[in-house]
Parts: sequence; C-alpha cells; structure tokens
Amino acid sequence: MELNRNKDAGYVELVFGPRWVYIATVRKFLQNFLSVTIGNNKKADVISMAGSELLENAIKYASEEGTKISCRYREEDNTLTLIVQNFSSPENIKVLKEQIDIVNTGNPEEMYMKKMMEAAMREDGGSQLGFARIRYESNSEISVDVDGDLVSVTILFRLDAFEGD
Amino acid sequence: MAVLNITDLSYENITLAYSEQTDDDGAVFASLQFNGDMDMQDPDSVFMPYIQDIHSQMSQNGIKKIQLDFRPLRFLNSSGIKLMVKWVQMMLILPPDKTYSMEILANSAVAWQDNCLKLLSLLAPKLIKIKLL
Ligand SMILES: Nc1ncnc2c1ncn2[C@@H]1O[C@H](COP(=O)(O)OP(=O)(O)OP(=O)(O)O)[C@@H](O)[C@H]1O
Ligand SMILES: [Mg+2]
Repeated sequence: MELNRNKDAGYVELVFGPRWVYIATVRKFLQNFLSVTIGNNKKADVISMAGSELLENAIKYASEEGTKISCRYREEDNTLTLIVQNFSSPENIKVLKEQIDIVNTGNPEEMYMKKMMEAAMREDGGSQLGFARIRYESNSEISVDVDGDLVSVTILFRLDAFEGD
Repeated sequence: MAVLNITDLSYENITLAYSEQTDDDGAVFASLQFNGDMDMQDPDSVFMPYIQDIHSQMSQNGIKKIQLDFRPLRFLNSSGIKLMVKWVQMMLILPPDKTYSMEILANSAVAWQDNCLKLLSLLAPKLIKIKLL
C-alpha cells in the first residue's frame, strides 16, 4: 500500500461497497475532514455536496461492486482534487462523456438553468442535474478518464474561485 | 381547523412538516418545513404524490401562498432539486386565477441554500420570492 509520501496538506482515500446508505456517512465524514483541512465550513459544504453527487452516480451507474473516493488538498496553489471511481458499461460511459462535455460549456449559471428546465420535462427518472449543479456551485473543472470499464471522474476546485465563509 | 387536509410526511432521514398561518391581511397561507437530509435515490415516488396533493388542494381552496422553509434542511441532492423544479412547473401551468405564490425561506450561511434556491426562484420570478435569512 502506498502511503501519503508526497506530503500534501490533506489527503484521504476511502473504498467502500456501493450501497446507497453509505453515501450520507461518507458525505458527513468528508465535510468534517474538509473543514479541518481548509478551515472553511461553507467551502467544505460545497465540496462534500459535490462528493455526494459523484458517489450517487458511482452507485447508480456501476456495472459491478466497488467505489473509491479520494480527496487531495494542495497548499501551494490552494486547490482541492476530488476523484470518484467506479466500473461502468460502455453505454453509460458514452453518456457520461457527452454530459461532461455539455456541462463544461458556457456560463455555469445559464447551463444549470437550462438543465433545470430540461429536467422538469423528463419523465424517465433521470434528471442530469448533478454535474451542472456542481459546476454552478463551485466554479470547478470536471473531467473524466476511462480505462476499460473503470471510470474516474475528477473535480478540480480552486478554493479562491467560489464563495466561502 | 385547518383549511387543507394535509398531514406531515416522514420518510428515511427527512420530515416535511405542514402547518397553516395567517398573514397581516388575515389571509391563510400554507407552510411546509423541510427537516433533515433529502438524499434518497428516488424522491419522486415518495414526495410527488404529497406535493400534488398540496398543489391541488391549494388551488381548489383558493389558498394563495405557500411558504417553504428549507432552513432546517441540511442537504438536498440533485434529484430533490428536480422535484422542486417539477413543483414550480405545476404552478406555472395553472390558470392565473387558480395559481398561488411560493415564498422560500433559506439560510444564507448554507452554500447550497443560497445558490440553488436562488436559482429555483428565477424559474418563475413572478410566483416565487426567496428570503435569505
Ligand atoms: N460514475 C459514472 N459512471 C457511469 N456513468 C455516469 C457516471 N456519472 C454519471 N454518469 C452518466 O452521466 C449522466 C449525467 O450525470 P448527472 O449526475 O449530471 O445526472 P443524473 O445522475 O442523471 O441525475 P441527477 O444527478 O440530477 O440525479 C448520468 O445520467 C449517467 O448516464
Ligand atoms: Mg447524478
């Protein structure tokens, strides 16, 4: 096992069974961990919300067991990286990539409004609001990396780019 | 005696508490307080029938306002936001004489309440007012 050798200012990694009931527990842990790490409750809330949305996805769209979340704070540029990994099917991965491309375009607030209006019209249970919400609330960069059926969704938060307390 | 026949609703980590109040002009308005965490996978199946019930009873009984107090709500996932967007959609398609307004109470110290609820009110600026407290 690789321990945290690189002396980042705050690092945590959790692997857990993809069960919906654990999401709230992990979200609350993350909130606590981040409050300590970055010393700002409001920002810790925003980031743990994003983690929670990613974990929901990792569980909803998983093709098999296993979810990993990791979180790394870098003091030198005041950024925080959140990564959530899961296994998924080619169909979902295709939608995932398309959605991330869509959500990353244009003004975050306008995109989120557009997504809310689209969500109201949908009847299929999906809402596709998660990524748009994350970007709107945190001004973050969302990206995805795929290796076979392993999906890694990464969010880069610039802690100066959104409001805190 | 309450005007609408609505009870509280509790499910998993969340409770919706219903009450009725009277404004300065003596008009009765409905009030719904959200407590806990709304973080289930499919909130529609539990909460949509409840919201539809409130919605139709309000327009049938001529209640012109509902206050939604989100302040005690710790977390709302994106499926929960979709639920709220659908509610707004239902209000928007009512004929003007049957519709009602919504007053959202939000805690400005909680990031998602400040951000997300503000945007929700922009979906129907004539019908929804937000009070950041
Ligand atoms: N971890 C993942 N693995 C595979 N596919 C994913 C993953 N995350 C998201 N997706 C795909 O990307 C789409 C967009 O995700 P997003 O979180 O924005 O919306 P949603 O999960 O559909 O709805 P909501 O988050 O509003 O409840 C999903 O519908 C799904 O098809
Ligand atoms: Mg989602």
